[in-house]
Amino acid sequence: LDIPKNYITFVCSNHIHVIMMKKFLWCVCLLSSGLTSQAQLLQRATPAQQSAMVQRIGQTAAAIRTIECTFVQVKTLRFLNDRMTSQGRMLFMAEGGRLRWEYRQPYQYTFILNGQQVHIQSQKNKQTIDIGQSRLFQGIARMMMNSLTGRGLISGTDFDCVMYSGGGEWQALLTPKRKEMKKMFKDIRLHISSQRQMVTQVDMTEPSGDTTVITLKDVTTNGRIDEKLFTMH
Amino acid sequence: MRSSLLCISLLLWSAVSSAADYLLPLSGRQEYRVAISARGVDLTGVCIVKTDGEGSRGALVNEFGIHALDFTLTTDRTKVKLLNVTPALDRWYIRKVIRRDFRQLFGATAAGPQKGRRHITIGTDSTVVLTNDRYQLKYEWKKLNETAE
Repeated sequence: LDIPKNYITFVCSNHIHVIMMKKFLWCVCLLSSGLTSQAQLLQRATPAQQSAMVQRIGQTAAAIRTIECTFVQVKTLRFLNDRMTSQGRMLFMAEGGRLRWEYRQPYQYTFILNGQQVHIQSQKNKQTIDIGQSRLFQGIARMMMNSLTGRGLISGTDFDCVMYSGGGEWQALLTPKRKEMKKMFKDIRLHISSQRQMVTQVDMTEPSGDTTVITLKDVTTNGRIDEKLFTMH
Repeated sequence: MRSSLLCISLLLWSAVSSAADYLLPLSGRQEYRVAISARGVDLTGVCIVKTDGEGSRGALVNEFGIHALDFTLTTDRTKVKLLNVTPALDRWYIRKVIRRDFRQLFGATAAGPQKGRRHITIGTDSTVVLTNDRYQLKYEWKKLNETAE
């Protein structure tokens, strides 16, 4: 059987093309299935689901007297194409609206919110600010407290909230309502454990596109916390 | 051959020695702890500066990660450009003062009086302090760590 050489080349090249095409289609299928599963992972809650989720978060938050945890904060700077990581610990006491936010690495900085007063302690300076005089400070303080417990979802005075669920967690996408807050944040995304109904991660996006991701770790609730930790020594 | 090697050595030595002269050395990636006092108001934060052959780029953020401003600095440290300034500081007269103060700070090679009513001191913990008497401003810069890229 005399088969022309160029025919063999044609068949072979066609065969290679078929193999390549198959591989390409496989890749497309894998990618699309990956994308579909990603899309399935998070789904926007219906109004009924959202109100049920918010209610459950509210119930859990109402039962929390104290929270103690460590945190890792990762700031992404678009201008430098760089990241800055800091770590610390957080203490929260529902009674009196008290919060201690303490950075330990790579710098020491403590922010204490105690009622209407904010105490700030850095390596050299200490200062106390009465937040009653500043609406912006009040908003930030409220946001910090509410982000940790999820209470802000219920009050709804500062943010519009859209809930998502999937992959064992809920997400609350908070969009600021007030002008001052809009200058600071484009949106805030709270990751909430669907089992514990507690915030596990906070993603803050600034108007510039810079992001700050705070991950809460080793969370213990309703343990005993020394009240002195919410005052400045 | 010997003379060319000597020239290269001298050039390298001069480059190294001139880089070491600055009070705030910049190479690779560096983090500075920054404290700014402005008429009784104390602000603190962190400044990250990345330097390459084209100059330096920096970003100033507070401890919570809230962005204050970005800046660029030429290799010879004579020009500072502020970018993406937070709305609270984004006034031409504020930008002008910060830009000039940053230029003095990064360009300083020794403590003592600087241009205008500015002077630089070095604290016991190696903190570089620039005081601007005219606007009652004080900038404190202390190196946090250093990582080469």
